[in-house]
Amino acid sequence: MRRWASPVLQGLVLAAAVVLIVLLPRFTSEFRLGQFTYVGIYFIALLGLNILTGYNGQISLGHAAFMAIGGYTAAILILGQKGFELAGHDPAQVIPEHGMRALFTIPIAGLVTGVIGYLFGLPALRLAAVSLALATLAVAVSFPALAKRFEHLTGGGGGLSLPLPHAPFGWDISTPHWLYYEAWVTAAILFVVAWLLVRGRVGRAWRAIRDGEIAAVSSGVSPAVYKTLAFGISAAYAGVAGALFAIQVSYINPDTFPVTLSILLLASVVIGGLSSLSGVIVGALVLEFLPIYAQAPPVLHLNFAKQAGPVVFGFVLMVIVLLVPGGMASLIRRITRPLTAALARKA
Amino acid sequence: MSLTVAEGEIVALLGPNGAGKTTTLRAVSGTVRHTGEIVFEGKQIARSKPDAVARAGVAHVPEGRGLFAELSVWENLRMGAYVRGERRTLRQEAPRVFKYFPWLERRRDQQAGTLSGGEQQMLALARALVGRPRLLMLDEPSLGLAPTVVHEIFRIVKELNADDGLTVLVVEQNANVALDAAARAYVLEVGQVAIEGESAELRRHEGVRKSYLGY
Amino acid sequence: MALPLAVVWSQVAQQVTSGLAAGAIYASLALALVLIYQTTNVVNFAQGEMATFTTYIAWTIMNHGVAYWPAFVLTLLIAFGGGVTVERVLIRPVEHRPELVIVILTIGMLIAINGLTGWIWGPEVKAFDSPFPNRSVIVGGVAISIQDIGTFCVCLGTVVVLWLFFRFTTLGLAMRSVAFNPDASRLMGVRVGWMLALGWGFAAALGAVAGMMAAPTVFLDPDMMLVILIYAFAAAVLGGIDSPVGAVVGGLLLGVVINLLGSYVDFVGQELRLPTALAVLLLVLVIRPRGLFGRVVVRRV
Repeated sequence: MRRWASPVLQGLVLAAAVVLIVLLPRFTSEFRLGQFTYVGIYFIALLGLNILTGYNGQISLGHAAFMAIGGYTAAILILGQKGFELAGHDPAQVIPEHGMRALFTIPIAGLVTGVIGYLFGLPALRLAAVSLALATLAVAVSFPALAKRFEHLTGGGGGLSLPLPHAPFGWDISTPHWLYYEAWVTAAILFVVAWLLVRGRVGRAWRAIRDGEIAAVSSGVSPAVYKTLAFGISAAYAGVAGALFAIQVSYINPDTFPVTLSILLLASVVIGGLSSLSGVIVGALVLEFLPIYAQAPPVLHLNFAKQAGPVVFGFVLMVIVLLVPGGMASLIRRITRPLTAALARKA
Repeated sequence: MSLTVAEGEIVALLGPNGAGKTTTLRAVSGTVRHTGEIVFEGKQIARSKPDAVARAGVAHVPEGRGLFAELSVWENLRMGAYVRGERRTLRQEAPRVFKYFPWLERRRDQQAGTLSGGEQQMLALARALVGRPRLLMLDEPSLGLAPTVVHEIFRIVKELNADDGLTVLVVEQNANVALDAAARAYVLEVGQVAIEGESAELRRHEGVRKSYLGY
Repeated sequence: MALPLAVVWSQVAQQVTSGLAAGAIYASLALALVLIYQTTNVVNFAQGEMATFTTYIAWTIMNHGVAYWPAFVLTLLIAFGGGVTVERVLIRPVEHRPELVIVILTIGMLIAINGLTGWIWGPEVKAFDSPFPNRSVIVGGVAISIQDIGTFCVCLGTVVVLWLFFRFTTLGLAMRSVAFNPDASRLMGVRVGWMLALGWGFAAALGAVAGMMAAPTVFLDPDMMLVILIYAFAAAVLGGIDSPVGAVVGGLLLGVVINLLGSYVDFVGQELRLPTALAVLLLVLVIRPRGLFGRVVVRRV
């Protein structure tokens, strides 16, 4: 009986989450909605990072750079050649028709970033876990310098201003609402893709490699193939998130995706729970709201410096690592287990 | 299982693979969890950490010898003296140890990992001796070594026992050599003491002869 | 291109010496990474932030009117204590957990310490005194800044002192033995846990030296060591992550090469130094994963 009680409960929770996400725009201000749009965008990036780190055991501290690649790809496509020439002089003159529709740039950004991530995964194969972490951190740190250096593509330090996004196909909803749905529908699709991947043959191969490369080889799994695949897919997710991010703020410059974001992304995955897809949503909420609430804790009416965010973030991460290895997801599971058991008994 | 080693005695632990000989030594030196009682010179050491047991005067030459392959011969000896405060101990004990292993002095700057198997075993023994242990535990000193080297090692152990009254507990597959050196021996079988007694007595024991001595 | 050869030579020599000064800073921090890698078997991502934090402490001490060198020594002691404490309190509980877990813990430290530094001292850039005069000496027609000479000497001096410590003292030997074989060290009566903590202490002190030497030129700000940490890591990997000699040679080499490339290859310039270092890092890792001086264990069984 227990065997099916858990999937049923999971299904119920998932359904409740979907309803909540769909209905949320009715109950919140546009400002709040913007924050929840970021949650959706982070959700996508964290899904990708969890595939790489949680399921495949490879650390990346460079995912902000992959987000940036996605963001720049989308921005360049949206501006188009003509818009690109104008963007440097007078952003106000740029009109959407100059380039591609924002929505269509998202999958292309994912594809481009995925290919770049796959290519980066090739030399990364030769790196031990820790060297990989530092190599990816180095990528994230050098990306702004690279972006500034290749000014003709990226607009240099001034960045690229994008036209304000609108709902396409003549839909009559406000821009924040459109952006919210755009982010969350993408997130839902990518969640299902991730779920299918992780459940299936590929996911089994990833986990086998994570848990012991030698054993994985002897059971016929090629680490080279699956590790680079994980890198590619993970980067593609980051690229999609980056594109959505750039569209959301309708601006991108070399500092839109700072190193700090890379580091906080990894921290959020761990806080949410490595190799837990449901933990990713917790991670995304933490990433968006923890810094805000740490700085100005609600109820207490306190106001700390901006740095309170990272400090609390760092400490939460350390506490999770030291005390709750499975992350928030396992904590929630532990709390709800009595409930699941009760349900199972009733059934 | 219960066993005792008296001061100034050489005791051998015999038995087939998996009988628990190595585990017994590791229990004494505190490198394995166990529930028994271990009393050393009147003090309970069963719950002590390995480094505390070592400082109490028990030297354990483990399986695989536990040398520092990357350090020189001399540095390995310095580590042996660590338990009693390196410098003074080394000044006093090194000449004594070099008497038994004269070649070590000539090759003190060689990297320990580049010594031959027999030399490594002797270095491990010498390193343990530098710390002037009250009890020396040797785990399979003959493993993988040529018979002449094995005899050399046991000759030195016997000499040390005769000269300084060194107390030794030795685990051995090679029962012949071990019984030759030891005053008493225990035969372990699946974690139990199956037979115990004087070495000479055990040599006459039919079971021991058949299973371990091969005649 | 009609520059007299002597001028070209003196320019190159200047670039090399300032590269050596920068390289000595990378070398110190790289050595700190190696120290921790050898004992705890992880790369400490918080190494740079720990160094930044202690450099701010030095700044505070000096602001209270303490002269440079006493403040320098005091900071080293504080850093050492801090490193030991971090190991005892944070690393000890995860000692036997997978590498990934410890790495993530150090990343947590990175985030927290970075935030704390900004919280305590504010995000704005501060000037940090240099103990050396801002002049140059002319050696064989080459003008060398005293600042560079001083930085180089302090960093390498620290490295030499550490080397003597590890080579000749009982404690140093015990720490090395723990790095090579912790189980055997325990049987020798070594308190392994404390040796690991001391390793973190020395690493933190080395980081503090790197921080205090870097601060006069890069200025004091909460993120100042992030880039230096990456150079240091590149240096450590270049030399072989388990080789102290490699870390030092790798650091100096990287400092000189990056400085020369940055000055004489237009494409690299000022901005692309870091990506170039990254490219060097990746190249070394792909061609020779254990680095230039990586350990080849000589063992006969």
